[in-house]
Amino acid sequence: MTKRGWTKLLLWVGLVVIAFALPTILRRDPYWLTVFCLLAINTLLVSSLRSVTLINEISLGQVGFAVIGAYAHAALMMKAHIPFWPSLILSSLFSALIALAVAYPFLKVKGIYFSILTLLTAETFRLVAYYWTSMTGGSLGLTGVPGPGKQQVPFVGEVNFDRPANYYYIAVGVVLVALLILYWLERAYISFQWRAIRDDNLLAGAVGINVIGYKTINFVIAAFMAGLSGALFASYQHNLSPDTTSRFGVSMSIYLLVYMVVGGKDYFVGPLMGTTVLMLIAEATRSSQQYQPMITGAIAILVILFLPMGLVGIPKQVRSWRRVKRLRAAGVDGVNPAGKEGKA
Amino acid sequence: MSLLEASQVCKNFGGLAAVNKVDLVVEEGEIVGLIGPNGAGKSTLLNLIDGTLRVSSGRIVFRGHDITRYSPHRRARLGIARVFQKNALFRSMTVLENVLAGSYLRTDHGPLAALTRTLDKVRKDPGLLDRCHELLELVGLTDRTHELCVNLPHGSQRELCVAVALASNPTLLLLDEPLTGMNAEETASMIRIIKEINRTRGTTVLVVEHNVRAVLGLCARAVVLNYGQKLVEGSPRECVTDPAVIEAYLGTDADVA
Ligand SMILES: Nc1ncnc2c1ncn2[C@@H]1O[C@H](COP(=O)(O)OP(=O)(O)OP(=O)(O)O)[C@@H](O)[C@H]1O
Ligand SMILES: [Mg+2]
Repeated sequence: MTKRGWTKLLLWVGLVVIAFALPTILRRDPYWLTVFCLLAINTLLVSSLRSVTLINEISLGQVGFAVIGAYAHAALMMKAHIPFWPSLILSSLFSALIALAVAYPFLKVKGIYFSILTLLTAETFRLVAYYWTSMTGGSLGLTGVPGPGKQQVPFVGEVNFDRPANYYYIAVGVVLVALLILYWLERAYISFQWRAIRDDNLLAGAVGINVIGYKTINFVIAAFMAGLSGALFASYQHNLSPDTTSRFGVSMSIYLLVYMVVGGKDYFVGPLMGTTVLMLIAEATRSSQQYQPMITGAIAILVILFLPMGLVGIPKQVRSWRRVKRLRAAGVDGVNPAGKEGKA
Repeated sequence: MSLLEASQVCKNFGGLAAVNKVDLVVEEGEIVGLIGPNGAGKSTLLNLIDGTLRVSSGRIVFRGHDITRYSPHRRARLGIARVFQKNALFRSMTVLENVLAGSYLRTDHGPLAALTRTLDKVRKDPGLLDRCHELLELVGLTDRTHELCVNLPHGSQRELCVAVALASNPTLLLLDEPLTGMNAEETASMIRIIKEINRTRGTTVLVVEHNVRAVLGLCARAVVLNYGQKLVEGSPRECVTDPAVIEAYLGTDADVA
């Protein structure tokens, strides 16, 4: 492995260790643990959004697949009495299945049309949840979504995972596994096909790549991850609301986008970074809640203007500034004047 | 059986018949020239053959398969490759990566393999790399292997386009104006490359080209399109001296003569 590879691995291991040590560190502050739990769930949702950018599309519909995952999970557990784990997987699969069903027209269009279509579809899913009262509780919301309950853990014994401090482990664990899968995909051969499609989809088709097929795979996997994040959320929050102002509203789609861009959309850890920084800032400024959108907006604008590669891109950005400075220094002394003389 | 048989092929854009009832037959091993003034429908005809566009009516048969309704990747699988009129390359990739991406059909492909194998493994496959380097040698880009493709000059990008198209090992190569924007030296080298591809690999070539001298030098047979219709067909010399063709090119006939 290269030196950079080792550094990366070390950072990841450190991250996992910290993630699992947090409950111990925050023993006296269970509130913060719920914040970190939601942070993990949101990171997965933002990562699913980033995953779609690999085929050069901006999905504003990840929230829609999260709605499906959340309500499917709630229904499976509450109505069909399916246990937590199978329900978690089934509801994510259901979300992926819906994505598969709608994929074809989605992936025929590109750019802004794709974004609009995903946004409207997400809204449609939310409205279905809003009006399908018998199933979802409608505008009143759905309460009493169960968590994992008491489960046997080897070496530890019975643990009540409905307690937020314990559910944290489940959320973080599931999100880490999901991120690992997404990470694998970016190292797998399929990422090369996605990149070819992103670079030039006509040429990709001409060299034999099934463009719609590979885009569908991407879209369906992203929907699975979004659904998983929704299902995790349902068992975390225990109640769901399909309100405009809920986390399934349009504004959430926009926030996800902001999280991704602030973190750095070209980096795998960008969503983690962006979500962490912005959510923690939002928490820290909770006392002035009415200003929160402005604070988030200001940070986003500053990052976009000065750090177009996002927070994770800072080291690279600094290196490129240094290079420009060096070249300028050299240029002012020698290159430019010589060029002027040459013309004269 | 001919390699490619297009019969009564039409393509309408709204009211405009960009390609109008064209019959085109290409035999295995030929180099066929497709010429005609600007907007004659040459690129559109290539688009219909490689599946970038679907025909409005008509039929296209390739190696005995009716490919009229096939999507581009299925046609590529049957052995049709394409160089677009503009330099279409995988912009974010290096020269070598472009050829690797072009080799998709020559790798262990399909979604399952793509999901379970790492990209690194594919990149380091010695057989595949050898093939890619061979192609880069053919087009004369061996010394720029690891450069980003967008940093190449236009002529070299054009050559890379040809290497990418060849990477799938096609039976039929469609070239859309491979010589535009090239200087004399690059033009000569591209002509040599096309001839070599045809001679050593037996690749059949259908080439759209404005450079009449190049068409005369390359092709044994040419087809002239005008306003979407086939005007004449025959030896390139017959074609360019045909009065109807000269008239179609009116204004540019000086360079035909
Ligand atoms: N996608 C499209 N939509 C509408 N009209 C089109 C489209 N593509 C081509 N056309 C029209 O069809 C006609 C034929 O275009 P085509 O590009 O095939 O010509 P060409 O022979 O390749 O010309 P050139 O030598 O300039 O490349 C032109 O009038 C063009 O404007
Ligand atoms: Mg053209």
